Amino acid sequence: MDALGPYLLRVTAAAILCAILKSLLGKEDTPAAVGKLLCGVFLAVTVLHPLTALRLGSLQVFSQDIAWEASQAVAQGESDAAQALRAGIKQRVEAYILDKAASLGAELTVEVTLTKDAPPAIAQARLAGRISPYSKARLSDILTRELGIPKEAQQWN
Amino acid sequence: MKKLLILLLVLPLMAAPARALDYTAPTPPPEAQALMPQTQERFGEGLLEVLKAVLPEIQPAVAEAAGICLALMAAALITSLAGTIPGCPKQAVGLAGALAVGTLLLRPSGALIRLGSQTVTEMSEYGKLLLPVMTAALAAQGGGTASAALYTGTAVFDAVLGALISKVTVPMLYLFLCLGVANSAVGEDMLKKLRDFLKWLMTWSLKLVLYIFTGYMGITKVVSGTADAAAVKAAKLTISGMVPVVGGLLSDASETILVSAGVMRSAAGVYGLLAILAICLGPFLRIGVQYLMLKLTAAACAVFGTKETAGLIQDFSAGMGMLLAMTGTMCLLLLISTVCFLKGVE
Repeated sequence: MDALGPYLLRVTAAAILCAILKSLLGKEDTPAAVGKLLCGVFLAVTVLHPLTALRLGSLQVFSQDIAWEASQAVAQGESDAAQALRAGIKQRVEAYILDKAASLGAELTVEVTLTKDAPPAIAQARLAGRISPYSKARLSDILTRELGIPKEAQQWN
Repeated sequence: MKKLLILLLVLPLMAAPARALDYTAPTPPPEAQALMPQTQERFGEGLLEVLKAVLPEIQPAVAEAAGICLALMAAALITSLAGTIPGCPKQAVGLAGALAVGTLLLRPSGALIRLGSQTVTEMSEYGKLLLPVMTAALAAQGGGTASAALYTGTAVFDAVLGALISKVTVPMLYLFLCLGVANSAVGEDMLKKLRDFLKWLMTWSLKLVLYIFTGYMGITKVVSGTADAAAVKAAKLTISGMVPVVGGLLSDASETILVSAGVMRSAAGVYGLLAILAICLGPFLRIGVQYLMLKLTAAACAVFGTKETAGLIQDFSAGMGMLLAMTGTMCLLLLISTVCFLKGVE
């Protein structure tokens, strides 16, 4: 853009110079026709001169990084969603177990661990609190049957 | 009673979204921020508020453009009268007319070209900030393939268009105006073909970029949208079948995430659309006012002015038209891209 000002000035000056020359040369004789031709050539050279400096390499406008940036943004969104999904599944499973424990008269705290798979599966359930042996057996059975948590993945404290 | 209390404590946990996904559109530059509406949830209402905020800012531009047009008419009238004086050379009159119109219009046109160029840069920069937010929000909603394709397409076309405007069309526009003045000064339409070629090249290049971009967006939508929808359905089925009895309950968790991500994407997208319009509308209307005023002046000058003077004013109005096309093309590119992100996975 810095070179644009002088260039425009050159074109304008050339045009004014041609206009003055043409008005001095008159209109309908041979020197006027030659003068007009020369003025045209002079103007065309002035206008088109910057094309000689054009390098196609400078027109490379987009970087190779765009695909990498796209994959980063997508990975960020997918990671956010996966984290939110893990938290959602953990919350719902824990709430479900607490609800079942409450219906059996037990007061428990529950912590569910999920696998790192996508989507995550339930890896382990830690249960602590006051619970009768009968209710414990019932709840353990519910965890296996309804949530697919095998007995060995159930930790009772 | 105790069971009921526990149930009351547990129920909200089951209903609440697991973890809020947070995708916020970036704030626009300060001048555009001042135009942003209070209500950003509904696009229609927001757009009206932006328009209401922009219109008072246009009034000084209208007055300024009207002043310039009056001066142009006066110059055209004087030039025309000078041409009727016996012995006054026609060439000199044409040269004086071109110089007068050029002097009156080059400075304001230069200011508007700089404004248009700056607006294009601001929109492009804002687009670069909005793009990752929309991409992440769409990917969180299960549109991984579509969002990657939309990001790549928008980023590439934004870069191409930005470079095309700043490095090619803006210098060409200066040259176009300069050739207009030179052609009018020289007379006999010596540079007319070259000037018309520049005009054609600028219009054609902008149109071409926009056509290819919309084509790319359309193809991307068809190709990747189906793949993403299938992937989302498969993920829901996997979660649902993962746990014997309450699989459906857990599948709802995934549905909640999708809805939450969708809400965030929609809010960010609408804000982004309004921000793009807030950046673009003011300069667009200012250039538009100048364009219309010059069109009107050229029509009026064709009645009483010389052919060269009216033609030169017409050239400046065409130049403003091309500046409008440049600003509008960049704005349209970003709007189309944001709408494509908003459309999401079906």
